[in-house]
Amino acid sequence: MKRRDVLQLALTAAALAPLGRLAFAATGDAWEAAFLKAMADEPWLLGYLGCDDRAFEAAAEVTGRWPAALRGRLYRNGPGMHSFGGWRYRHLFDGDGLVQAWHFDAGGVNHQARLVATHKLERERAAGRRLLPGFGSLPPDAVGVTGVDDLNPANISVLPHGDRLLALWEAGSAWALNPQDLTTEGLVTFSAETRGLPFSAHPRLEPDGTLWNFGYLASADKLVLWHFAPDATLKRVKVLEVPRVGMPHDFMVTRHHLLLLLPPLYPEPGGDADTLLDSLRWHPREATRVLVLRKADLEVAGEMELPAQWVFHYGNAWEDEAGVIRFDAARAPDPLLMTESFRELMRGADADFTTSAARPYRYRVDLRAGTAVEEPFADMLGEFPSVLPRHVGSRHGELVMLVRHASDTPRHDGLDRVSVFDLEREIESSWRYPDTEIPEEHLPVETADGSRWLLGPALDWASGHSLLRVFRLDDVAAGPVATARLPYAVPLGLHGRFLAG
Amino acid sequence: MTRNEETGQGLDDATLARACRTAAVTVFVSTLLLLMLLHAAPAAHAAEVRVVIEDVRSTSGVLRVQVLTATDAGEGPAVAQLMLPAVKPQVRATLHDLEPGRYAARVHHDLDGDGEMATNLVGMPTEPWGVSNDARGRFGPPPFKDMVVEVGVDGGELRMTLVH
Ligand SMILES: [Fe+2]
Repeated sequence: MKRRDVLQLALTAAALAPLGRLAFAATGDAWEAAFLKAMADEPWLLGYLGCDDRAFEAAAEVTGRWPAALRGRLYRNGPGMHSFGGWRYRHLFDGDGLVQAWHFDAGGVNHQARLVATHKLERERAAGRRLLPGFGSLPPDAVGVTGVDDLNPANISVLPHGDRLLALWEAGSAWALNPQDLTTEGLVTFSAETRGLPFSAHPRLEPDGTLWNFGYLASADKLVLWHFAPDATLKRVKVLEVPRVGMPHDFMVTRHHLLLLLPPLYPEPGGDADTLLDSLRWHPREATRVLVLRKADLEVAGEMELPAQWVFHYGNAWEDEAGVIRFDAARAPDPLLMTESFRELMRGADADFTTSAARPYRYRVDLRAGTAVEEPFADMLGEFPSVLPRHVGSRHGELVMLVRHASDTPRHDGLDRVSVFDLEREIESSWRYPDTEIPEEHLPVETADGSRWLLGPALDWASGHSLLRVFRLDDVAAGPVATARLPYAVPLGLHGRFLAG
Repeated sequence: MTRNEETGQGLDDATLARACRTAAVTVFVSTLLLLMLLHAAPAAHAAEVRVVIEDVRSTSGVLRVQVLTATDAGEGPAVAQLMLPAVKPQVRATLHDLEPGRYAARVHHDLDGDGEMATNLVGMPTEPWGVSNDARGRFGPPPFKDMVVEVGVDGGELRMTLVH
């Protein structure tokens, strides 16, 4: 064994300890064993190990100068507990939702995290093992289910809504949490007629507080559209019939319209697949449909076609006086990252993160002409696009993304930079993370005094600590102005929201 | 024996199958009606069958139970339809004079008493329901065969827990 390998093993063991896991405990589950074995060689897999059934709470150690005006809470969510009862999930998106709150105030930076106590998790805790199927996992001796919320792990994103904090999944109801201590309050029913309808993980919040969302009903040829007033009351809900609706993950709003891209990814009818993931089929020769809906009546304003493509996330959309809509996205050629790589990752297999990875693209949709065109705007890999909350639905001057330049070869094989694209001047400002860290979704925020910051969570896998960095949004290349470091490693998360104050 | 040929206001099978895939899970909707105790033919070997409904969380409305015969082909005709007062947390009833054989049951807690299964905008049930043996499907309705209970000359029990 080379010295380097020995060192890595030692680092891995050190990194495992903070997660409270019995390292390398034999569980009898081949995937669990394979993952732990792989992590000995690839210690960055710590980010995907998952936590035990526990909560986290600690004060962060801050270095640098934390901006005095930057007060509030950064909430984040993501699959947290991948293994339970000695059995490991078969897909990255199945772990129980772990909601985190980074709280910045005069007293410093504090962190807490809790698993969402969903119906699913409570039943499994009582049984001491996994009982319910997930998006891409079927545990042994799984029990049958009575509705989609039986499976809901509330693990994709988070949204402060009224006086509640919502933990969101892709295909089911929202879960309400207490925004102060993150304890679970219950499944959310906005109204009797909407009980159990899907509320997706990517609602769009407009600057005035108006909230829009969609829900995707796989194979039912339906989309649900949600419209909430700024006071968080449900204004309208509509079930739209969309023949052969492809699976969307995110969507966009403009001043007058809602935009959905429907990729040619559908559950195969009549199959006997174990999971929803197994039932999905990609049709590369079919178009990705661009569906434009009017906000006014939630009716279709236009439908265009783009080449087959898979988009998890959009930056932002806006429309000009002539009714031309422009937006940007992290565009992948196909959904193999989701359907294959994120499955293989769970057993630590050498998953390919680059072939089907997303790239920064921009789009132009002309409603009058009935055209939709696209082009790459930066030659690199990129994901987790985001804009300032003030820019949602209107022209955005800059776009934040995690990226990887062609010349970068990070040890963890993922995205290794955060970049801020000045869209007017076409300038990229970029900061590369150390090889020992994996950046997570970065969010641009503004404080009451008008200063602009970038909040950057990351995992230092080499030392087993989760971090939160603060950058100046206008000079990210200069590196972080402050870093908050936790005494433990939290599983890599997905999406967050910042609540100032 | 009188047969109940009515089919109720629930979803038909095709709609049901679609609704089930919808969420990639079982979305079970039974065809439940305003149910009444029907005629049961007196038999030489009459058996007594207990109907037990668990996890009743509200005293509003009524519980509507449909007892079905099971045939080799699957679901047979209904032999009894009960309308029971809702009592927390458990409701019990006894059916007399059933012939020994194979039976299954469905229950709907008609909270608002309108005789129909309330549904959301896409037809998923929003009032509590249950089936015998607490049978569950994985991507579709509970398989009928899993709902079936053998009733011998000494009687039997149809037990179901409400899904809320
Ligand atoms: Fe997402």
